[in-house]
Amino acid sequence: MWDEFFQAAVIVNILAATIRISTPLLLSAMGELVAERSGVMNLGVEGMMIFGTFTVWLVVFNGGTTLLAIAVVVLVGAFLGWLLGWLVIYLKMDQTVTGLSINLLASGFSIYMYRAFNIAGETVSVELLPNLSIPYLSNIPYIGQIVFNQSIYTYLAFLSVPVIAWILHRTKIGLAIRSCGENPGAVDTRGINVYHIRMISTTFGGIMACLGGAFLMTVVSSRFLPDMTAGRGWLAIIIVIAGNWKPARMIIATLIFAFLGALQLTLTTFDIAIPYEFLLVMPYVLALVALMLSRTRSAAPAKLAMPYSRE
Amino acid sequence: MLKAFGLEVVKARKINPIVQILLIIVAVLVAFLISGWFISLTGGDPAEAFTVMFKGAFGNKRKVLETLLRSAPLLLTALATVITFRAQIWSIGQEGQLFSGAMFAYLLYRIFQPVLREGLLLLTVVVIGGFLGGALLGLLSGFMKAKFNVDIIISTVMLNYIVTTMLLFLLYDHKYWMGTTTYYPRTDPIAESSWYPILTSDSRLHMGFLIAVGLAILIYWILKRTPYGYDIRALGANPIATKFKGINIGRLIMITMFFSGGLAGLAGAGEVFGVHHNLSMEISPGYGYTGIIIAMVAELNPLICILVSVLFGGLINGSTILIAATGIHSSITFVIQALILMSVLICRALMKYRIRRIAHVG
Repeated sequence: MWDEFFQAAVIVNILAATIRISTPLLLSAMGELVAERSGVMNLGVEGMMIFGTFTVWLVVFNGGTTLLAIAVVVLVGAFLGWLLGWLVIYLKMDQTVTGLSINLLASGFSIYMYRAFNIAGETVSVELLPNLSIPYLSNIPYIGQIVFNQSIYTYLAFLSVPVIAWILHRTKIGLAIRSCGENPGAVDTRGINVYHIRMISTTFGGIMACLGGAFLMTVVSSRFLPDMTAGRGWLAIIIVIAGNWKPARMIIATLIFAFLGALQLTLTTFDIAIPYEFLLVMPYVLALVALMLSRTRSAAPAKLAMPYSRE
Repeated sequence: MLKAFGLEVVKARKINPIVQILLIIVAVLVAFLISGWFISLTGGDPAEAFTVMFKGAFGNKRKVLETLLRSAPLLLTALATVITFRAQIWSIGQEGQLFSGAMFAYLLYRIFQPVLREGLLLLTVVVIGGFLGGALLGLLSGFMKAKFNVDIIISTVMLNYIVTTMLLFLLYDHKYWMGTTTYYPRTDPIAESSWYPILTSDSRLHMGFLIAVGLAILIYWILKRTPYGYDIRALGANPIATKFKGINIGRLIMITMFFSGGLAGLAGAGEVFGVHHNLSMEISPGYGYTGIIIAMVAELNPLICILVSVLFGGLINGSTILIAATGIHSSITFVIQALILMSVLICRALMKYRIRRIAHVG
């Protein structure tokens, strides 16, 4: 059986799946990174991803195209990020509690909507976006199939890493964002509005999380299920911590989680002795182990999850 | 934006407690209003839905008793939330702890039932099993926080996924816990002699409800009057000062997580041995998460938790006949619960501020 497993085609499959599974994790995690660097801990990522899946489904249900759905998802994500920002930055509500309530709201809405429309027997399937083969590059043996024959989201996700790293570390706005997380008082004395910077960062985080959710509904599955994000939002938060708030390390963390997911998908099609459920929980167990190993040398923003008041 | 109208937002003075309560009630009504709007969007009649739910929850004595039955697990998971959140330990592992409590109680039942047969001893074993099952899972999160500085919130979420998936594994295999007479993922029924005792002959209300209410009062007293309760409140109010006072924070977190998990575990044992009389995924439609909502709406006060749990128990009980009576699916309660939470939280945050006219100098 293991001979079968170690064939080139199977391995290419697993690696291509790894890149695919990385996509929603990476999108959400990069959004979370920006929000956290500005000092806002968004624990509502899971809920925002659920809203992403659910928005796509709702738009398509009402006769919209997949592309229109994605556009609406961006607006919904911006709204949710803005809402979370407004609640925690201006109203200074507790960031943990607010994030949790967004998760509960999303979960409740998605379960009810699913039931409400499935009672009437009105199911709808979303037209999936085709993969975008990059000309020439996708013809490279093995590598082409793994890396250059993916959905548009995947290119966007992996491109966002260097772009966001560059913005955070090499531009004025990036410096302002990072300073808001480390020493907001100093930013304020330079005449930059801490609230505005944090609002922009949180809104961006919302958009990225919702796009991560939309990926699941427009690339992976054409059928909607409540809570279909299955903890990916939480993994995104863990990726930020395990990656120590550094984009390059976050990619590595993402790929490891995604590889486990891909392994599970492939192994279940083989007749092996490991029960399916054990493969399913591997990423979560690994997440706990990774966190236990990584928390000693943390580069977390100093003012993470602390509200800022001008007085 | 307000400045254009000559207004500004400032910190409010202390609001009269009666006005505060009235404002919270208004916030809950707003949540129902939004839910109602949402029901009408999906083709239902909100007025009819809410009437059916209210009658289903509090319409007659039997329904009230059934509502109390539903409120027992909610109160326990809410109390589990209260003691952790009071200490600013953000545990959201109540759902997983509920299941691990149910699993451990069921495991002990399988081991001891052939030996003890029935009676008070077996019942005690089951209750302690439920407590320990949840408590040990809570302790694991507390340990990871104390020794490895892993965020409680994240370890508890991960453990929720791990525990529920492991239960599925056990329930989907005849080699393990899947019942011999069933093809559904659930265990064989619990022997009737091992059920939780019923409180009144004409209802399903079992002793778990009394345990929950007793614990609520006990926890209120512990938080208010004992050194341990003081430490918890101190940790919540000012962790740095607590550290300098020489309190072992790691130990305090582990103890608190142990008891919090135990409370949620008791809820799981109660559902298996008092309500469903078998173990399946259906023992909890998210009671762990509802408990978190209840605790926050009750402002982390154990006594107010009793009242809010009964109201939320009514919400869940009233929704069971909703689909048959109105065609609206009972999962609307999840929407209502989350909206109540959001609305109450925003209301409380707004109460800290007021709008006044900008005073012009000179």
